[in-house]
Amino acid sequence: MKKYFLITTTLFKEYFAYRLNFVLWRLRNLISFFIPIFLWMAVFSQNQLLKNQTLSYFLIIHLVSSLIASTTTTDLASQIQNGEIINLLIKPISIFKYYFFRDLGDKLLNFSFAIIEVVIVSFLIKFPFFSYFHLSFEKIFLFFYFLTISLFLNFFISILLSFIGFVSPEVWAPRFIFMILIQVTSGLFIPLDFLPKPVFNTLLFTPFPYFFYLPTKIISQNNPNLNINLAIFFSSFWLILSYIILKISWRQGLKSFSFWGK
Amino acid sequence: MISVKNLTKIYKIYKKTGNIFTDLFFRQYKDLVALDDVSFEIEDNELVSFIGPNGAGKTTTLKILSGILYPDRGKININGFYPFDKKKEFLRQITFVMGQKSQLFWDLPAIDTFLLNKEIYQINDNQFKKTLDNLTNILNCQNLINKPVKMLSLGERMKMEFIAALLHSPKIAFLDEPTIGLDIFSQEAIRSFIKSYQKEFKATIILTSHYLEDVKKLAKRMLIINQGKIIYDGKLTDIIKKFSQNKYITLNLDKEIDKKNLEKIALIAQYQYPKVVFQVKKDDLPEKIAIISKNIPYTDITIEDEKIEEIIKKIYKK
Repeated sequence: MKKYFLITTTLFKEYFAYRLNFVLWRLRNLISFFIPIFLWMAVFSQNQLLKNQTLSYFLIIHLVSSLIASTTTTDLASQIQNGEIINLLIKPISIFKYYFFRDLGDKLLNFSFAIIEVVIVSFLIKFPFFSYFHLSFEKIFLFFYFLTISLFLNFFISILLSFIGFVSPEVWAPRFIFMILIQVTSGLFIPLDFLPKPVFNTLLFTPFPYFFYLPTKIISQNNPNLNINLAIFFSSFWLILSYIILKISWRQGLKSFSFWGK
Repeated sequence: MISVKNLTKIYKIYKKTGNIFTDLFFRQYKDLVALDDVSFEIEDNELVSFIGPNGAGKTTTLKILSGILYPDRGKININGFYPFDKKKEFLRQITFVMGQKSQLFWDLPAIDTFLLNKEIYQINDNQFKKTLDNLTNILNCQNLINKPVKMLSLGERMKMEFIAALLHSPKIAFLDEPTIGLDIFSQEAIRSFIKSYQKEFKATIILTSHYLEDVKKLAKRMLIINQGKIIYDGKLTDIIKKFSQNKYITLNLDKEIDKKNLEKIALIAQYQYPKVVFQVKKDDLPEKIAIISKNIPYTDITIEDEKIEEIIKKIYKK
C-alpha cells in the first residue's frame, strides 16, 4: 500500500516544484467557475427560487467536477508517443494502478482548492450554500454510487483517449473535441434538465450525463425528477463497456505498437 | 539463462504515396523486417554486447527480451519466463537502462525516484540502504541524490539512472547505449561501474553501444547485427582472426625515400615522412619484414593488427 501512497505524494511534490504554474492553474479554474455562475445569476435575476436552485447546482457541480474531471492520464498519450512508457512497462506495477493513484493526488489537490473556491464565492455572492443541500440516506447512497461510477468512467475514458497514441501521434485533437463535448453534454455549463425533454432523455442513453450531472442533481434538488433505475442501468452499462474496451485496447496496443525509434 | 530461437520482428511502416486522398483515406503500409530469424543463447553472469549500425535491430532485440515488444515469431526463454507475459517475478529480475530516456522525475531529486522504486520492487529498508550506499560509493555520487534532476549534468544524471535501475539488484540488465552523449571521463566512470556491478552482483548484462570502446573494455563476447540478422557471434579477439587478412607495419624512416621505391615493397596505407604504414597480407609478414630490414633504413618499427573499427566497417558493408 505504501507504494501507492508514494505515487500520490510524489505527484504533490511535482506540482509544488512549479509554484507559478500551480497558481495559474487555480486561477484558470476559478475563471471557468465564475462564468456560468454570473451568467445564470443574470438570467434568473427575476426568479429568486430558480436563481438559488441554479446557483446551488453550479456550486456543487464545481466540487463534483473538480473531483471527477481532474486527471493526469493526459500524460500517458505523450509517454506512449515518446516511448517513456517503457519505464513503467518494465516495472512490476500495473500501469492502471499507477495512474489511478497519480490521479488520486491530482483529485485531492483539485478538490481541496475547489472547496476553498466555493466557500469564497458563496461568501462573495452572499449565498447560503449549505442550506441548499437536500440530503437523505437514500440520496447520500445514490450520490456516492453515481460519484464512484463517474470517477471510474472518467478514468477509463480518459485513458482510452490517451491510447490513441498507440495508433496516431495526433492525440490532442480527439481529446479536445471530447472535452468540448463533455462540457456541453454533462451539465457543466447548462443544467441538463434545462434542455428540451427529448434531448435530455436521449442524453441519458449516452455516457455523458453520468460524468457530473447525475451526482450533482441528486443532492442539489429536493426532487431531481429522474428515472433512477434507468440511470443506474445506463451508468453501469457505460462503465463496464468502457472497461472492456480499455482492456482490449491495452492488450492490442501493446502487441501492435512498435516503439520504433523510441 | 537467456535462450532466443528464430526471433523475427516486423514493423509496419506508413508508406507515403504522394496522393493526398490516398494518404488520408487509404493509407498504405509496408513491412520492415527489424529482426530476421535471430537465434542466440546467453549464459548467466555473461556480459554480451550488441553492436550494429542505426536501425540494425539492437534496441528491438533488447525491447523484446525485456517484454516491451511483442515478437512476430520465435521462442524466447529467460530463466523460465516468456518476457511479454510481464510476470511480476520476471520484472523483478530485470532492468532496462536507456541512454536517451530517463525514468527519473525531472523536477525532483533522484532520491524521490529511488524511494518509489524501493516500494515498487518491495526492497526492505536495510537492503535499500545497503544497496544505495554501495551504488553511490562505486559511482562516487553521494552528494547528487538530493539535487533536483533537472540541475544535474548528463553524466551525473546517467549515474542516477543507473542507481534507480539497479536498486532492486536485478539478475539481468539490458543497457541500451548507456554512454551515449557522455564525455570521456563520464564514459569511463560508467564503464568501470558496469564492470564492477557485473562482478559484484553476478549479473547478466546485455549492452548495445555505438562506441567500440564500450565493447572493447566491457564485453568478451560480441554479437554484430546488421539488417536484422546476426552476422557475427563470438569473442572480440576472434573477430580479428576471422575477418582480418592484413597486418600493418609502421616504420619511422631514417631518411626520406621516394614513394615509388616504397611501393615496390608492399602496399602503402599511409606515407608522410618520416612515417610510412605498409599493409601486408598476414601470410606474407615474415617475408616483408625481412625485405624491409634489408632495404630500408628506419629508427622504429611496429606491427599491428587491422583496427577493429575498420574490420567491423567492412563487415557492415558486406
